[in-house]
Amino acid sequence: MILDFIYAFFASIGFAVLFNIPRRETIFAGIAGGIGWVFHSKLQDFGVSVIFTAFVSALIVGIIGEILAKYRKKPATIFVIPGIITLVPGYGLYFSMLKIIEEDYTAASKVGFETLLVALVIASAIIIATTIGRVIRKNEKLI
Amino acid sequence: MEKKEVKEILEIALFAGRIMLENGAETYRVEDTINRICMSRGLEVQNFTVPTGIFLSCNYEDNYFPYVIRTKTMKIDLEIITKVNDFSREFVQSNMSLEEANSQVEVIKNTPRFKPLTISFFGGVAGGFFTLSFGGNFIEAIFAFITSFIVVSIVNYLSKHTGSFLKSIIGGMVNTIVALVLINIFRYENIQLSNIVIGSLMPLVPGVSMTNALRDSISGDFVSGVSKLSESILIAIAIAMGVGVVLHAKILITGSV
Repeated sequence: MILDFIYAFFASIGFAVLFNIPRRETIFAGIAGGIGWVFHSKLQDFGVSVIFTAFVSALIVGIIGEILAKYRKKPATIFVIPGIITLVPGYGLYFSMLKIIEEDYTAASKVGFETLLVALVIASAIIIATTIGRVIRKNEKLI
Repeated sequence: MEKKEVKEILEIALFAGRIMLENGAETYRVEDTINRICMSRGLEVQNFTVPTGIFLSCNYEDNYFPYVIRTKTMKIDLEIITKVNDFSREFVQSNMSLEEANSQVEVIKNTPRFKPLTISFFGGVAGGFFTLSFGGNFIEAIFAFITSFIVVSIVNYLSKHTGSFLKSIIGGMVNTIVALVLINIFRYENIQLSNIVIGSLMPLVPGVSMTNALRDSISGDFVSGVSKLSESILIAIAIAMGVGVVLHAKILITGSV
């Protein structure tokens, strides 16, 4: 579990630099990504489905992002985008395209559909977290 | 208000919005920023933003001000987005003069990025740790680090000269070639090509833009959603083509994967 956290922490920090987030916030983005990935791998160990796992972990990353946004006084996006990077199905998207090129359409449609659903649930989880955050910080003018 | 002043306010709003859009901000955020900047000085505007442009029109005392701004570059720079966000908050809440606002946005536009070497290094870090978190061993992670480092450097260099499609094809090809070369030079046991490729491809694959595309669609920005979705699918196809070409070439030459 600690190893999971460390791996995802550094992976998220790497992405935080690739996306050029403000320097002082990189560590917080790493923490968001690490916690999200720990939930992801634990839920997978318990045998929860891929889609629901992605939803719960993205919701947690989103909520952490909103909390950090409140305390660090920055928009939540800068914590959420590097944080969900471990969860987003970029590899699935690539893999399904590779299967199409290899003419293995069964595998391509299976992985491709799963990819689309995972992206959909992550997007909706982030929207739910943003809405919760907006309700909590009513006075704030900009999102 | 004078006609000239209205024009200046609109241009500051558009300038801020354009910088945000060119650095990968979501379209709703750009629309929101532009509307708030205009509204704080008493201008009612109609604004429609898509990932490749901003449309803005304003009707002030029977004078029409139509604007269309076309944007092209697509990169993600969250620091600039944060700074424009802070700037617009300050502009809305204070009586900042228009000259000062203009010079502030100009400063934000020229915010320095990390050095190319730093970016490549952290790209390598991301790739290496992804291999570990997907269940690879340490030697595979080191190989993935080297692969990602090279690929991110090349892709960063190419992004000045080519579009995202060609860039992704070359990225996928270089990625697979470097991984194959490393495996065949060192010949450690228990090394799997797929583990290295999974991790080191992560800096290239468009996972975030696909998620953002669906997020836009869910919030009702269908035009941005569809255009971002097609962008991410095209990039995924390009990467897969790059990887596929190299793997097929290897099968033709050596007879096995």
